[in-house]
Amino acid sequence: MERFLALLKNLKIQPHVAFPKFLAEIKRISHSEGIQAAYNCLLQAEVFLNLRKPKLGIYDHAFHFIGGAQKYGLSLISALQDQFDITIISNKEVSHSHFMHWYNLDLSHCEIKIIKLPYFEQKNGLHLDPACISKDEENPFYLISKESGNYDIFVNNSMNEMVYPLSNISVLVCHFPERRPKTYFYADQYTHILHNSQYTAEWIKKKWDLTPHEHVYPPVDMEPGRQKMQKKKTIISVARFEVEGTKRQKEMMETFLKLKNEYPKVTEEWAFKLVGGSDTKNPYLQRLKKIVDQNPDKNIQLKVNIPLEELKSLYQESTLFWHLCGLTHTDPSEIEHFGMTAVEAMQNMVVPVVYDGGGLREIVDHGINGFRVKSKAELLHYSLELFQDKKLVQNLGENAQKKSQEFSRLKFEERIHAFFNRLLSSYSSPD
Amino acid sequence: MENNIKKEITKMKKELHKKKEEIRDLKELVKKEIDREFPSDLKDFSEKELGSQMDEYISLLNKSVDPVPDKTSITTHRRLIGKPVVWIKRIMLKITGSYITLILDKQKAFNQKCIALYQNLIIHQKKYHEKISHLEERIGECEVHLNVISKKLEEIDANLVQHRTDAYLGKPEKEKT
Repeated sequence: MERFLALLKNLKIQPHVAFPKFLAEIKRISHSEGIQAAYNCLLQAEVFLNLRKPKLGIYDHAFHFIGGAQKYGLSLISALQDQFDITIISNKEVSHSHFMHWYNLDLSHCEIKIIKLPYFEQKNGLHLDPACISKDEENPFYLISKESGNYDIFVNNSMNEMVYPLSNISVLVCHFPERRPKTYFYADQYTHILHNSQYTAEWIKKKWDLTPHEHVYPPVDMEPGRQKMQKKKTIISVARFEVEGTKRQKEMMETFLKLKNEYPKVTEEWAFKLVGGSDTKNPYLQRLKKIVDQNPDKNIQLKVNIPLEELKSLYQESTLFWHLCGLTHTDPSEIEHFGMTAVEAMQNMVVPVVYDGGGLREIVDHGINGFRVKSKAELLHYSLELFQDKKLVQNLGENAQKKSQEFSRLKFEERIHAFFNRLLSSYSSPD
Repeated sequence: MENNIKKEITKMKKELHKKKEEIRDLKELVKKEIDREFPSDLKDFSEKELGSQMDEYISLLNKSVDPVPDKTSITTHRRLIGKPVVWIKRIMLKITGSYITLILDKQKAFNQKCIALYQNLIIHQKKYHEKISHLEERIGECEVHLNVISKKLEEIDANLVQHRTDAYLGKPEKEKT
């Protein structure tokens, strides 16, 4: 490779002399290191000689779903649209208007390429689960691997380590290392691993024995508008209604009911609103509805799949934010890897009372801008304290809003630009 | 010259791209082995991971519960003498079949009981786990209550000391609120 880089530099200085040697070198690489290596050299030469813009491909096997991880990846390319020719690689049909509608991101300058995977197409499901691939089966993601070799930079944004990267520069955005290294594990083949929180980094080391390269917190943009809304005695919880109940909405409801029953005077005017997305047939959600129906006088409301504007005003009018995801977990993946909704609440001066674990520890500083709890009893205790102390609520809320600025879209874009500029400068002008 | 270079690179890229598309095997594309074995240490596994590992083992055990060989399990890879060899083996299996079945039926019953025992143990373990979780929750509640009570006790203690000091100095008692 050193020989190739030397020739590349000469190509700028003495093109007549260097070009025949350059072509011969490409042929030699093709024979000794494979066709992909030779192709990659040509890609780099084009960028080095300013013959075209660098090409970036981003892949996620769940781009057709709305989700925090997908928002991360698409925000990343939104920040890089001017620098790169970008292609969004998806396995299912999805359009620019989806991204606009779901994340308010205009990605009209990016091309969308749909690569259907026959293995999953035969199964007819919308959800592509890499975990179900066994050793005896062919890796269905080899088609994506092949596609990755057509770009200068390939970004794998999915929780899927089964895509072997072929590009010159490859970035694995790790939202959490869900599986341990086994069949078709290629995370260690990426030139760079980008992680979303220190918690994720810790588990990348533990599970994969790898040290990630770059830390960029997800972008959170739920800042309130100019018009200030009056705060109400409302507790809000914002989390997806997972079928397995990992977001622990049931436990939060139980705590609220206990508060209502044991401290009726203090909690008289307080309401608990649980917001989140869900499929129509969700047994866990049905169970929650049943609890609400059984306690009509307790002021608990379920708000499923509400529009963004309604969510915004709910954040603005709420006083406390509850989040117990991680409570009684049996696996590190069941704890919040970061906790975007906690930051959204903090941006709106809502005091967070959250589970003491995972990425939430990086967001909420106990007693300074909220509280971290380890049990339902602690949730009850600290909430009761906040119900009775308006000054404390005011102080913590203000501090929470200050802390939330660390996770703004602006900060995210700054970090992404810095990282990709570094990658690009060593690629387009190698020493 | 720049145009020539551009043209040549584009041409070469096209050729390589075409070749790339024809190759299905990634190993061939990069001219190296890409798949490896990863040993895993069960000690590091989480409860959830251990649970799914157990399910996997149970389903594997279930698949191999019956040790009696069936006819189709006798195959050959030899081209010429393969067929007669298979034929002889099948005849032998037919002759000894009833004796083998007699022994292996016992083994099958034993295997089934072993699997049932494993499943039973797993259910037991899950129930104990639920009980422990419940107890942990109760302990958590008690700890919080204990904290609140000890804080209140400290307050009462401090008030008592203040009250005694005031009485000793002859200060008038504060108005009760």
